[in-house]
Amino acid sequence: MSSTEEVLKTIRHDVKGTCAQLTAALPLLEKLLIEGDPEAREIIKEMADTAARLSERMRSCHEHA
Amino acid sequence: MKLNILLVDDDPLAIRLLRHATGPGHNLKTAANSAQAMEFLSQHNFDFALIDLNLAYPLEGLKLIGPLKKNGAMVVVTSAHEEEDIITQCYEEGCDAYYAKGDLSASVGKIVEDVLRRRLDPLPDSVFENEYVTTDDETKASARALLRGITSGLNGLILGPTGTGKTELARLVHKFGGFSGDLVELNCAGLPKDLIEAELFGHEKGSFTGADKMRVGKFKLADKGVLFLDEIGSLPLEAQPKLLKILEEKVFYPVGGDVPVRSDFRIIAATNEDLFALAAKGLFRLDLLQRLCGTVIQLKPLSRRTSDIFPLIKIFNTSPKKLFFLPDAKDRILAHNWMGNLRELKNFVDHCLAAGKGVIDASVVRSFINRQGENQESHLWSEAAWKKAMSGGLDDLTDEFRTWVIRKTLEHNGGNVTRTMKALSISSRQYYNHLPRPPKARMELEEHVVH
Repeated sequence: MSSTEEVLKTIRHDVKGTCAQLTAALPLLEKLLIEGDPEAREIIKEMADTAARLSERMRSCHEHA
Repeated sequence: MKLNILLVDDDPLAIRLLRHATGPGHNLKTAANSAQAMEFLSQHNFDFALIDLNLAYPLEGLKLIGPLKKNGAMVVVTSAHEEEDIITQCYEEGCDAYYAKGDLSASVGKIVEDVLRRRLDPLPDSVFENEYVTTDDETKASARALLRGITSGLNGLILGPTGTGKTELARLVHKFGGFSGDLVELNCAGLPKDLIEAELFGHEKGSFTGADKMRVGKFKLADKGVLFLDEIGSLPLEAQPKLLKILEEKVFYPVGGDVPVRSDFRIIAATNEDLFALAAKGLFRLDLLQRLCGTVIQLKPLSRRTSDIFPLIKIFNTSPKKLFFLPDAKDRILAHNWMGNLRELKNFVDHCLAAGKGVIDASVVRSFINRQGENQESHLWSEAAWKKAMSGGLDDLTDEFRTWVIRKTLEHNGGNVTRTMKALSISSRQYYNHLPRPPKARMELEEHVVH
């Protein structure tokens, strides 16, 4: 597999995985927000961290591309 | 019921989602990498595990699948990988299900329900339609009881007449018991007395004349699996203390060896003999019998579960040719005693196929029964009958004889119950004491009975 294909594969995997994870978190977040459960804040923080990790990985790919 | 669940993911958000999805009331352990997960595995048994494939490095989760399966867990893998080779690799390692990342949390609730149902009812009804065919509720309950007993660490004892499917039941229990080891089958009746120890414990090279190479014994072969001891009643008295010792200690020495061998096995023993009567006569060790009696089940003869006959005929017919039974043939089949049980029924199916006709009438059944009858008659006053009376008592044997006479007379009278009772000078009560019939068939017969 060429390095371009490797980079593309990593990006595809990371983007799809993270987006799927964030999307999957939405129903729970919505439920907790409606219930006024303080856990909602923790979820938002974790969603931000997850998105930030993706951002970091994309930056790294950008440097190597 | 609480489940032991292991969640392996390096993303705290994923762990949180899965924790919510599994629902409350379970014992949950979470690990961010494979090292943590392996540490949990060395301390706990898990009912199921959810693993992210990419942890600290890509595909790190793959190496957890094998150890988790050995641990007895149902393993579900989740990943954003959609490459066919990676998914195939996961299944080859033994994972039970593979979910795309994000789809899993929506499905976890159902998976948990599924695992719970399997734990509570590890043998769903569909098993009795395809794998171990029976419509009889008592037989189903026996199979479930044996599986529950064996998987919870007890030994099992299957009692029942010859040909009732004892070996098939042991195989079913092994298949659905989640064992990582094999099912090892051993017929105790076929063991030469002087080779029993070598067979069970294995032997070192040169430990006796003819031992030209080292051999692993059945107990070791059944490590983490099940050892099925068929015809346990035939195990010589002198070998029984050794079996008892290993059942208690799970450690033994191969013949000619001085290094102890440990094996983690379960025993399922089976016999058509009355072990309790043998024990009372000193022919079977009571302490061994008590040890085997973790879960005892009694399989019914086919004549007491006639509703199974036609579904079994369908299963036994492996030929593409379908068999169709005319009503008079069906009546004869249901009235027959099937003393050889499933084995005899299988022979009957072969007989029908060999008859060359797809439509089976009473004459085909009659020719089979006559042939069987000749075999049975020649054994009526045999050594085996005498042994049966010795172990089960004279009443059991005479009961069996009376049943046989009534069946024979019924067949002679073309299935006419009234003529049968008249010919034998017996009452309807005496008749039905010996020939219990399925409710529908009994109603049909009773129309002919003169009360």
